[in-house]
Amino acid sequence: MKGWWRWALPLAAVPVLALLYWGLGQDQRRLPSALEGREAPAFRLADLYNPSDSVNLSDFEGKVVVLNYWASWCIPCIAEHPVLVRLRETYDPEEVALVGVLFQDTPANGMRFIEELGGEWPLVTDPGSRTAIEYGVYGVPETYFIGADGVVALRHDLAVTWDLVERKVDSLLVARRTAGPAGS
Amino acid sequence: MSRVAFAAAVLAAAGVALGAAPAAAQTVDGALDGIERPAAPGDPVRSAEIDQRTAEIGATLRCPICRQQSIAESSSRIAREMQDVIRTMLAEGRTPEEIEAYFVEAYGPWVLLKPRAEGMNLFVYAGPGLAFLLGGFIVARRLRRGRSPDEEAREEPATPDHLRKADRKWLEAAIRGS
Repeated sequence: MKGWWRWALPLAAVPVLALLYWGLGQDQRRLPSALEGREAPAFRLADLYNPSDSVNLSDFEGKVVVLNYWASWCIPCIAEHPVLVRLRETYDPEEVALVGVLFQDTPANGMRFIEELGGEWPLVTDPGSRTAIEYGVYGVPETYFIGADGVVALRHDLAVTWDLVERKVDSLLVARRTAGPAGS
Repeated sequence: MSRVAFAAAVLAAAGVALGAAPAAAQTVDGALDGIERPAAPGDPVRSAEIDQRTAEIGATLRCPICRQQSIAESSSRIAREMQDVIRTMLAEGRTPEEIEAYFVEAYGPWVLLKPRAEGMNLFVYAGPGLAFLLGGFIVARRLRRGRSPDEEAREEPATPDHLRKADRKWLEAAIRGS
């Protein structure tokens, strides 16, 4: 066997081992979002409390939108709820909109959940999970941070923390303010 | 009724019953095969053809919850809802390619159980073939070069003036080096 073969065979294993190392380092439960960096899909969903009223994504044009998919049966949703309440209390609704989409749950259960834990922001239902599927939702909670330009900046697929919300919303607000009058 | 007529009637009835039995069984089987689930208000259009095509397309899409199952196999609610989306899109006249593109746009290429043969995915398709060819090449080289001394001795004339290839090479190198 010539000399280069002695090197070629172990070297061929290097990229395979590197790929294996990289793969084992990934959190297999988390999946990339296909929506980040793309325009958020438009929606028109019925209000949880008044189904004859609808909420459109376009209602929040020019604002930073935090779109949260949740359900009353979802334990992490209970854990993150105080963060959402704080978000609503901290930021100006004229700058930051928070919208909750009830996922695979009954309106009655959703209303009871909000009654117990509080929260005053637009809440909508999503029959057949059509909008959730369009957003590529895997499960709840999932939160989409949408910039004032309508582009999805981040999808977070576990309970949000205040650090994450503050960091992301602040950066989107800076982008909104620097975008000029069109984005303000 | 005469006895003959009675017997003929009995035979005819028996014949009808025997003949009808398989037909009835086929009908029952057919009814079970094509059993329709009750449609809920707002449900997409349902038909045997659309159900069949939905199952075919669903078999190519990964369930976001189960992940190792297709949405056609999965019994999770999101998988059923994704199938409803497929039904609606088929009823609207969308092609399977358009439906696949819709789900890829929402969930990314990950949602496809069979990755597209493009970009880095080409490695998945071509890798095994290339590895097989490379392995075959290496094995062939080793077989050609790495024969045992006994095998070489058997192939070469056993006369004193003939050296084994390996010995001759060593000798030639030694002469060149001296």
